[in-house]
Amino acid sequence: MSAAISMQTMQPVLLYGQYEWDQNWLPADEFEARLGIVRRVMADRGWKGVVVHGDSQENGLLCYLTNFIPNQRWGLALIGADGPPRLIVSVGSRDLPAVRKQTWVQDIRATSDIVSALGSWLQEVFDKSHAGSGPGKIGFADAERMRFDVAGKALDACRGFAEVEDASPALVAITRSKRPREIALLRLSYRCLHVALGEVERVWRNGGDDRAALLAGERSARIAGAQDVRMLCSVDGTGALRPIACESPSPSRAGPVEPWTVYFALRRGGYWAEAMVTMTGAPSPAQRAARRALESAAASVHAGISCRDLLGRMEADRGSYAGHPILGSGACRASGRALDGEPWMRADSDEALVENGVYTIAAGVGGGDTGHVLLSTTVLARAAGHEILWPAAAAA
Amino acid sequence: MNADERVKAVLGEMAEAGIEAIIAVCGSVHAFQKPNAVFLLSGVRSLGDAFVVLRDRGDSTLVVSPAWDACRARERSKTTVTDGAADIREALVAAVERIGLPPAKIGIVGLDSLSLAMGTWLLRALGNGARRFDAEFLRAARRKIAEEIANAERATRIAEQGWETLLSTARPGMHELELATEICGRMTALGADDNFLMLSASQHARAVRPPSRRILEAGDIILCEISPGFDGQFSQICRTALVGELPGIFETKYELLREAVRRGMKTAVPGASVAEVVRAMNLILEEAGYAEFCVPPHMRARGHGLGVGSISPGDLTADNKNILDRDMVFVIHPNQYMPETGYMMCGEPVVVTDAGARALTTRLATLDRIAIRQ
Repeated sequence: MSAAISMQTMQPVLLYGQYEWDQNWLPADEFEARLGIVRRVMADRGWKGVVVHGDSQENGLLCYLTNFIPNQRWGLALIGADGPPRLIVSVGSRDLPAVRKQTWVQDIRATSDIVSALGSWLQEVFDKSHAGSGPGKIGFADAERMRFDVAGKALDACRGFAEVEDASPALVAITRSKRPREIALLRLSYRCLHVALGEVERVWRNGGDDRAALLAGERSARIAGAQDVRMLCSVDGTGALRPIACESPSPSRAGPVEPWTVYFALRRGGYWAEAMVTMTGAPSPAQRAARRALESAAASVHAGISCRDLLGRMEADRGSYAGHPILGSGACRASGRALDGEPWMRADSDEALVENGVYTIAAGVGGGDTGHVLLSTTVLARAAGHEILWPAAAAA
Repeated sequence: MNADERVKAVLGEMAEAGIEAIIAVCGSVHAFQKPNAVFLLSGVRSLGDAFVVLRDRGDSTLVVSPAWDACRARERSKTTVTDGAADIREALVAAVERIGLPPAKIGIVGLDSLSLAMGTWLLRALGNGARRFDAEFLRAARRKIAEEIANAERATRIAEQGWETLLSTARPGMHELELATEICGRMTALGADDNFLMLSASQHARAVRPPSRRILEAGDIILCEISPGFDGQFSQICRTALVGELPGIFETKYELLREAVRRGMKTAVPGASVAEVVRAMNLILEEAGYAEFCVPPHMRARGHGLGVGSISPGDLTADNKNILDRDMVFVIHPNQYMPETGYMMCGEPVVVTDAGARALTTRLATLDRIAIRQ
């Protein structure tokens, strides 16, 4: 198995943005429907309850079920076999009013004592289920990512009541196929991304330095309602990317570096849109080859195609250029629900694209006379065919 | 104190504890009110999980993830060696093997900042007997080094400019998020590498909250906690502005908060306890008849440490018996709810000196006004 790819961004200490629950886009019945799906999974697996963790860095599942995104620290969604869900949040009681505005869940409890919060819920769950029917099982999603001190206490609290099983694979699988309202939100996120990157390019081509260009893009994104914006860019021609907004100015960087690669991601309405673009005065042969390869791959996307076939097709079209130091020659990942935690798949992966799944496909070229190139396209896989959410043409 | 002196202090604690190597770890989620041991030893705020191995000889190795972030880390790192790892777990295992010491001679710092998966992996690699060394390490690292104090001053300048931008930009009709976007953008352009920003407006607030799409209106009280970071060192100012004209009682009550800051700063000398500082700050408010409001939820804490590195002396609460030391940097903020005005915010970042705490700001907070432009 080839080495893992990481397109890691810098996690801010506090998220800020438009986090209030917008019922125009995601009314309560949407979440009730999702809850119904989770309960079918629970019944299949014999789980009496499911605990879903999310923190400010990774919260795709938590957000999917509750619309809540912790702006710092963590939250837990507690789902029983019936009845309304409960949300436990690591905030002070005076911060609850702000949390209430973010979620359709009405039973919200602020706590720093995860043991008693989980314990009292589990007591209710197991009191409700028939006494004497055995210890039972619960599912716990995202436990592996919980902070070490909190995780230990949480899992111990759960094991006092039931056998704990990892719910992440089953719940993540539910979210792979996007529902109609999610697709609408993703289209909105990508429109927002298009405008933001347009601003980045405009400032850069008018002679602005990399920081000014990226800040212009971030401003555009946030004014349009982005909840979170992450940016990386090339600075020194080595292929490495940096969180440029997290850098104090370096005296060695006098102006824009060409070719200039940017990774830009924004989240709007709970859904991430991401893109890799490479800007130059005039596209190099390597850049044109990478773009052709991406367009060819995108054109072949449909539900059921494997990453192996998809990326293999790209490999054939990109020519013999060396791979990018970060990405290699090409990779693909599920997109929309999560960002840094979503793994990239290479051409040796047989994972198949699911119907109504959204995928970012990226092509990379590294070094030599061409400079480093990273481009991406994002595609919605349909039963037969696809819809382009972010075209490769926007990338070069 | 400089970085070498800090390492020497840590080595001293190690020697006292019979520890011959420490592994300081951090995860990818940084919190400016939690200590970051990797940053304290290296000066690097990592993208992904990272660790530093410090040997009792004084040599140290920083390993960051992802591997491609090593370039950036090398530019900043104070460790002897800096490397990047595509697989941080494998790098940890390799590092433990290279240390080649029995677990009882190895100290771990920062375990709680890791994910369950990473923390479990580390403990498995170390085997039984490795000790948590957080308390001793943080004791040694409680004072900011000169570079961190200088960065705190830079961050404070940025915060003040952020506030000036707010005062010149805010107007009725714009929403809080628009205002937050403008001031954060300005601060990033000035060099801020992150920001813990709380900004809200209302006619009568119980607390500050994150910015939303609430539209600013005449008669609003804008509350702002501006906390930019510069090269990993955060600072914080707490400010209040009135939109348009409001009754004089606001000035009167705000002066109580300013006096609480002054008294807190005067009391914050080396050797004083945090509790003493809090008592001095609370006294002015108690004398004014607000004793029942000097507890949560009407306030949270009278201040706190400023990371990403050391967060000494911790939260400024009445039960915090930590002793202040020179070069500790923290914010003093008697942010307070009062029934006549609602919640108001007033706070300065300070550094402890022998003569008391010195504010890092160019001016102490005043109750600012935003004129309504016709």
